[in-house]
Amino acid sequence: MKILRKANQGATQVTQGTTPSLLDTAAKQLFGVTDPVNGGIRGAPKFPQAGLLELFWRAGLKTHDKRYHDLVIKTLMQICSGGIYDHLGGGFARYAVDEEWLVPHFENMLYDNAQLIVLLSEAFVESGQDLFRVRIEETIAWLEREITTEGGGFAASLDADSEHEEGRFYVWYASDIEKILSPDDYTLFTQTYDLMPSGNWEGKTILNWLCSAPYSNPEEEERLTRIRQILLKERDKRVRPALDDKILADWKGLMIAARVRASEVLARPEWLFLAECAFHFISESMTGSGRLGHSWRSRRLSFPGLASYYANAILAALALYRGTANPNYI
Amino acid sequence: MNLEKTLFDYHWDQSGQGYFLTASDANDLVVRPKNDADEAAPNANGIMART
Repeated sequence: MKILRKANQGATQVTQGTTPSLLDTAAKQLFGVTDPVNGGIRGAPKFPQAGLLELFWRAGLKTHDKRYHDLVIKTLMQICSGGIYDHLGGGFARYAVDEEWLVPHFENMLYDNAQLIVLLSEAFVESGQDLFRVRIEETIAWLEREITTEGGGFAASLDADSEHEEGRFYVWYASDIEKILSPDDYTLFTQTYDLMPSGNWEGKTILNWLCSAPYSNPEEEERLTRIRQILLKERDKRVRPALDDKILADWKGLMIAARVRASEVLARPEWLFLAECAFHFISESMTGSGRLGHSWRSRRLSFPGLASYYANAILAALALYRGTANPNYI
Repeated sequence: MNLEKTLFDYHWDQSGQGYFLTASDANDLVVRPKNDADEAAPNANGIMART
């Protein structure tokens, strides 16, 4: 035991002397493994790698090298257009198994969605890209509809499987959609969402618009919004993937901070309310004997919490202070 | 609760720099991991450096 502890001390030393120039060097070297065509890191599988995108974003702000922000914006455009995004219900899956972000591993994690909302907010401020605004709005709506639990908790994740099949809840046969829509709507939908009888994945279709230009025609976009609502309603009849409803203070803290940032950027003060509820949940239901708990489920809290729980709760508190000017958060 | 003080009291590495992942009174793990790299979700040390 003593030997193990000693070995551990040496092995896990936090790197000494992290300097701003070291971060520039890291960004420069990591840029070499990025994918100029699809964004993200070259090859497959493709994870959003929000931490890495944030590093590039900061490097762009600091060095004024335009390539960093171009890459982050390119990556976000692809992620927002690919099958890794749920085009009907909102929310981003954990990763794509291919290099074009087409075929997701259909599992939605709270932390990915939180970090992507922050990146999309920063990218929206700079680019004014409508796609980013809409993805933020839809993902906030997804969070409220699918992930928020009683009393202001955010659940940890949504499963990939339903009815023993991965992605079953999310994918479509073209013939099923043809039955529901008018011929004109069906034609428009197939042209926009890569829908065809042969499918784009194992005979089925993962909806995406990797091959179409988003928001090019307002009249069409209005029709598409209506069609998406029809299909979402139809999809709601299916057996849903299970919700992992344990609540982890660190992932939750990330999402609170993300909601605050998005509400600032898109001038949506109403998004702060749920962020405040969620923070009160942490400070009331996830705390005991002056400590933060580990995870909360069905009114049971386990102890003690990890450093990341405190760090992200602090991040959330500072964001809420900025968003509400309420001094109780600091 | 003062989040920052509690984090410092139970997680700060007194012999060096940075925060251990687990609390000083947690017995679940034999060793106390202390990392500075982000994984899919960011690392506590990175978040604290940022805030």
